[in-house]
Amino acid sequence: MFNFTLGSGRANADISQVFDVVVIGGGPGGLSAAMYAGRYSLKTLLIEKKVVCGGQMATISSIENYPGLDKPVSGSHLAGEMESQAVKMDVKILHGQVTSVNFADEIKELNTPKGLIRARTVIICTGAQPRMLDVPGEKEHMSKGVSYCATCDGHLYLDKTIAVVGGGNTALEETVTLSKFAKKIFLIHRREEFRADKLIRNKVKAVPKIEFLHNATVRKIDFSHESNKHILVSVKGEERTLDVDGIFIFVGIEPHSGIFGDTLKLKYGFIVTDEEMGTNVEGVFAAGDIRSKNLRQIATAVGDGAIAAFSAAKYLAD
Amino acid sequence: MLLNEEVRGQLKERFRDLKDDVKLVIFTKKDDCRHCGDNQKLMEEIADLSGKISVEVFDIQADKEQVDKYGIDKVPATAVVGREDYGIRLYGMPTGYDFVSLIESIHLVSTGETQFTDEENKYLKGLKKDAHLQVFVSPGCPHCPAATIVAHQMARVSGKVRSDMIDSSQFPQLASKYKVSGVPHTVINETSSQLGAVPAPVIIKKINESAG
Ligand SMILES: Cc1cc2nc3c(=O)[nH]c(=O)nc-3n(C[C@H](O)[C@H](O)[C@H](O)COP(=O)(O)OP(=O)(O)OC[C@H]3O[C@@H](n4cnc5c(N)ncnc54)[C@H](O)[C@@H]3O)c2cc1C
Repeated sequence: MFNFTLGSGRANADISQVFDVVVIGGGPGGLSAAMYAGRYSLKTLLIEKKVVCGGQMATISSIENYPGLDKPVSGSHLAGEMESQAVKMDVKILHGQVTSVNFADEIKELNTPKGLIRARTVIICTGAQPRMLDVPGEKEHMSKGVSYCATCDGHLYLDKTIAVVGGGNTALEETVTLSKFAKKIFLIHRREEFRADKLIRNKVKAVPKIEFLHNATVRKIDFSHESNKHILVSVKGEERTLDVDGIFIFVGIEPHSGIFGDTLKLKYGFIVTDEEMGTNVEGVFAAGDIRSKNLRQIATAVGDGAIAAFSAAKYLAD
Repeated sequence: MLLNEEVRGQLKERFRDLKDDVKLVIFTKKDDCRHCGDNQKLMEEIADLSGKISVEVFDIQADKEQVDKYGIDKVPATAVVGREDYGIRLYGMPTGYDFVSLIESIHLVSTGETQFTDEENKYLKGLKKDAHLQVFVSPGCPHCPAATIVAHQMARVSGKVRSDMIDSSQFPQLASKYKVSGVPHTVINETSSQLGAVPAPVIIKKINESAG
């Protein structure tokens, strides 16, 4: 039936205290880390820049690969459950962006619009955001036909023709979601084969309204004229114009690591950690999509979060 | 019950710091309104959770005087009214992330707490021009509450600003009239628009530039 998301409301935490653990980011990695830290009876604050928690997970239409949830649920639902589980462990949530950090001393400092936050340990779970295609017309038409979120915008393309770009699990899963609205979908992928798992590939192939364009790259997006919205695509070296009302882009992610570049060791923008989620700075840990690793999923983010909280607790006890 | 025990418990807790009384003035229609009944039920369940919240129900066809007073032109509609009517409206039954915006609106109307700087507040209070903000959102959009909250806060501070949150999935014709092809999308005085969730000064600038 209906789903009612609550969000965490305003923080009632006294931010003048020194926290045992401050978690930056309220996606699944951060919510898991905070919940575990709470269970270790550590004074824990989670800082999330958006009005609601959930991170990228909040935009997933249907989650089918999270163990224990046999019936698919929406990302917003799972985010709500994770958040209330953390809050039950007395985790405080502050909504605001961490704009800079100082990890030089034993007590770490984080700047937010709500004030300076101090912590004995920090767990970084700032995750990532969708990567842009970086083609002409993309920026200009963002939210005017260019979208990175099927749960947000899919219904606006009822009985319309759209393009989806990408070949991984996310792109193909979201294409299936979008096929519930659109009358026709061009699925554009730059390689011969999709990267997505066979199970998901088979699911998309079963939907007749999806036309596959392999070895294809988008060259230009032009939605300036209401009566002539189109994109230019190069398919196997040949230029094609596709008349579409919108384009959904799922071509990977961009890490949120800008504020850590000066102090933490990064690899391709992702934070390098050891097996216990420790970074090159003592007392600073990282978990979830922001880590340099191979598999970025909810299941791995929550696993990282649990390990990071354990490591933080161990560091504090030593 | 639309709201489960757990959500009810959390809301009760949340409503503890309400200050002024809040009236949820809802508009319904007898036939031809898919979510009017559920919207009314939802608002009544919410009002049950706090002594400070009450509900008034009107019919868009029968109660002309109230329709004009609150400036309602579609249903389901909810005016979130505090000590006075600040011009804060929600169109469509708020579910998913739109529900976050409803709860935040109740809080905002009751406490008057905003995130604005002193300078922004002063500017908003001195606004000469009327502004009508229509924020198109959707229940599955986690970026949308931020846009709604900024617009509603502007309405709370300035008597010149009216702010409507409109669920684009329940009002598809209206969304297509304003060429909404991504949410959040804020229509400013019918003539200009802002895409995405942005801070108040960006909206203020557009109000100044807009006709009307
Ligand atoms: C469309 C889509 C579909 C997907 N489908 C699946 C699926 O079916 N199954 C699956 O397992 N995974 C899926 N994923 C991947 C999954 O969502 C991610 O692996 C997971 O969300 C990562 O969690 P995280 O907590 O590490 O980071 P994120 O979810 O990215 O959360 C990071 C949080 O940190 C916040 N933040 C960032 N910087 C700051 C700052 N400076 N201050 C404060 N807060 C900050 C952000 O606002 C965000 O809320 C999908 C992803 C997308 C985009």
